[in-house]
Amino acid sequence: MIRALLYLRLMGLRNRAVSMALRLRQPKYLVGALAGVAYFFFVFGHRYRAGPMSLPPLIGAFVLLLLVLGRLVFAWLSPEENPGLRFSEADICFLFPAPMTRLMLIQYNILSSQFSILLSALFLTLIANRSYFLGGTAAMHAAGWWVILTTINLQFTGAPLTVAQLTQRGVRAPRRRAILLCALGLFVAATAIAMARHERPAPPANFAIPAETAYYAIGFVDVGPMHWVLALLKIVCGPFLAPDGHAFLLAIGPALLVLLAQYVWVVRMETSFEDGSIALAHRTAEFMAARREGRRMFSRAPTRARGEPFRLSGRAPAEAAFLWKNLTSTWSGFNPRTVALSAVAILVVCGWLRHEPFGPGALRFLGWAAAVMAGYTLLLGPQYARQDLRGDLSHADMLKAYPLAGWRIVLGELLAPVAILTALLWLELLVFGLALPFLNLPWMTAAEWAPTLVCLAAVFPFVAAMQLIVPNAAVLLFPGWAQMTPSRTAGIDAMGQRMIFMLGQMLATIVALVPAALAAAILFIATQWLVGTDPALALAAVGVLAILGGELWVGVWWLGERFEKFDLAT
Amino acid sequence: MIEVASLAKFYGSFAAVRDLSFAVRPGEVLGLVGPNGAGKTTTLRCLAGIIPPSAGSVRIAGMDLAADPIGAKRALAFFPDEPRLYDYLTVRQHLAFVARVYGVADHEALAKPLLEEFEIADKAGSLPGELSRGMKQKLVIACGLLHAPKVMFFDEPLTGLDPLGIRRMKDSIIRRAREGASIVLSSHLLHLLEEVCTHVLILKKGGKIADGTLAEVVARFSNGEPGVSLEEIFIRATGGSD
Repeated sequence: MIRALLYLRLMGLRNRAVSMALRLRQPKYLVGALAGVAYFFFVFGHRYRAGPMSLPPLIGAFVLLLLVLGRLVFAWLSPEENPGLRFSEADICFLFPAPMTRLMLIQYNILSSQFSILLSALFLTLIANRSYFLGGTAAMHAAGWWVILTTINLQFTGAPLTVAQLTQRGVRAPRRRAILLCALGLFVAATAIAMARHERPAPPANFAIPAETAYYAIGFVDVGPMHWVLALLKIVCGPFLAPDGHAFLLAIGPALLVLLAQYVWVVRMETSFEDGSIALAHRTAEFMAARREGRRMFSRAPTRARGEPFRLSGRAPAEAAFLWKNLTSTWSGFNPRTVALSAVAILVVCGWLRHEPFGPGALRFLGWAAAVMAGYTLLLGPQYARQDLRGDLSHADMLKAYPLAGWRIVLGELLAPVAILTALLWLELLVFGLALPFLNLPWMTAAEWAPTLVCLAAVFPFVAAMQLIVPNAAVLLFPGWAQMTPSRTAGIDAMGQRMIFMLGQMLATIVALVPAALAAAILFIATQWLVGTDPALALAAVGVLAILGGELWVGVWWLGERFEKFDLAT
Repeated sequence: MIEVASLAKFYGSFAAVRDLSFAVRPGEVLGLVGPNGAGKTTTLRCLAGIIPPSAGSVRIAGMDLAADPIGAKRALAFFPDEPRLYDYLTVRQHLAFVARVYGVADHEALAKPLLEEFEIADKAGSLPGELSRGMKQKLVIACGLLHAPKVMFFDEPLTGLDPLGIRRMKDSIIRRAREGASIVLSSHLLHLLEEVCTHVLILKKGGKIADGTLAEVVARFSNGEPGVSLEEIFIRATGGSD
């Protein structure tokens, strides 16, 4: 069995490498690969020279740990009665009817994951090798990563098997979840009580030193039942955190014992996992296929009808029908009511914070966070809000059959992502606006806040639409490149392609924004001394809107023309 | 030889298959038919040991599938309706991998005539991405036949094949049966049953409606009328599409 697995993996790796090398003969992959290599060289080379880093990796590791723990808790609380193990559809086709016992299939599953674990361990060692603050060598760090990743993998293998076994013993999902939630609640309560009784650790002399900050933070929760959980975590992380070879040798033994105990726990689980595994493989294959086609980035195919974002009137224009359809296909919670409720929640929370002693600090943080988020929404949002031509390209034959002018189809397709991005931007702007009094902006007076916010709110939908025009144009102009971009095709060349594509989008948007920005500046400077600041600001905003609106109209019309001439055979 | 006794498969309270018993002797081809959702694929998966049945027993070539899964599985082959292959293994490497899993010695000598029989010998070095759906289907079948199984389960074996491929597949099934294999196949194509199957089992909502030789089943549902088509027999037996 091990020979067969080794053959499968080694041949697969070799063939994958050959395929990737062969596709470099196409210029689009070659250029992408060069961009990807340059990126890796710049990022890793740069960090390598930069020496030890301070808090960011520590915070990143903490967030990652929380995510893994959260995912693990979810695995135990899964509403599924028989979650199953992760096998590919090919594994199920070839191995499930093969002369292999259930134990052999579990071992195959564990061994199979070792290939990706080893690669991940090497990759993590590469990107973070100089970020460590506790010393150790690269080999020790790689081994440490391997222990941590294998532990996590065994946990994620054991959890569904245990859940399936509990189901087969009559403990159905509601009861299991109730018991686990009670246990979790008791655990948290006991830890909280212990923390309250325990003397707080002395704060470190310098919070900028990551090790001291980490020990200080751990000292808070290293009490009561949490002490035992942390003790296990310390054993598992011991080899990774070992400062030298001697400490590593002392730490690796207990860590391997914990691994062995988990392995025994998993392989002794004599339970049926086949049904769940087949369902999981089918869902995964469906999801991967959708991602390859760029239809869905994060979700899988809906299994039940979603709520409508708004009621579509029979007399509504065709563009509204596209908006309705594309919004229906996105997150079901996205509708005017949710956006309004979010705005109310922001108003309530920010209003409450204003009267709290820690409020100014918190609002300052929220304000800047909202500003950064708005920037990300504008820059990266169009990459994720793809409910437009990019998502509908697979239905292009139907779209072209509609009795509509090309520009109307393009306009209709653009409306949904514009609505999504605008809603997000307005919510972020609301947070920023409510936090403005605490941001201490010397270049802006209180009287200018409201007009500035209104102008920004008016301009944002146009900028978002402009950002979306570019990737949609790319779909029609360079279908070979653009269809590649939303897919999750692996490889440094694919990554490089995505980077080039994103840079191109940013550049095109900047070029489109320059005339509007110039017009706004000229209008503002020319009229400010005549009519005052606020009216001048309003005039500048109107000028920006007019130019952006004109550009958008030309863009939509031109894209419509392109769509009508778009050859589906390409 | 396939012996099935009181086979049942439940998903919660839903019975996908219930109280199913039949036997397929060497040289026989049993056609499993029924409307969508009748439980054909679930039955085949239970028989092939892919999923465990909730109740009942399955014996493959004299071996109990639950008590001796390895021995029983060594004697069977399952051919799914969709050809699912490893993306980065070539045609030849798929056969080599299957040979290792089943412990087939000298697999290259065995694989060559199979590849020629299914007309994919010239694609031996190709990856699945370079193959048509029909070729992928043929590869899956070649992989399944590599260890010379005595028992075969085909789930919709003609899906995706061109007319010549269909002809060859039918001939292949009949030849394997003549050589002594016990075969169960599920299909919606009633002409396939007429041409290939010696016996028929009609399923509806997980339960057996009728089974026997084709002539026996026709006689049972024709009500003495001469020349009733198999399609009409199927509709009468299953009560339409519900």
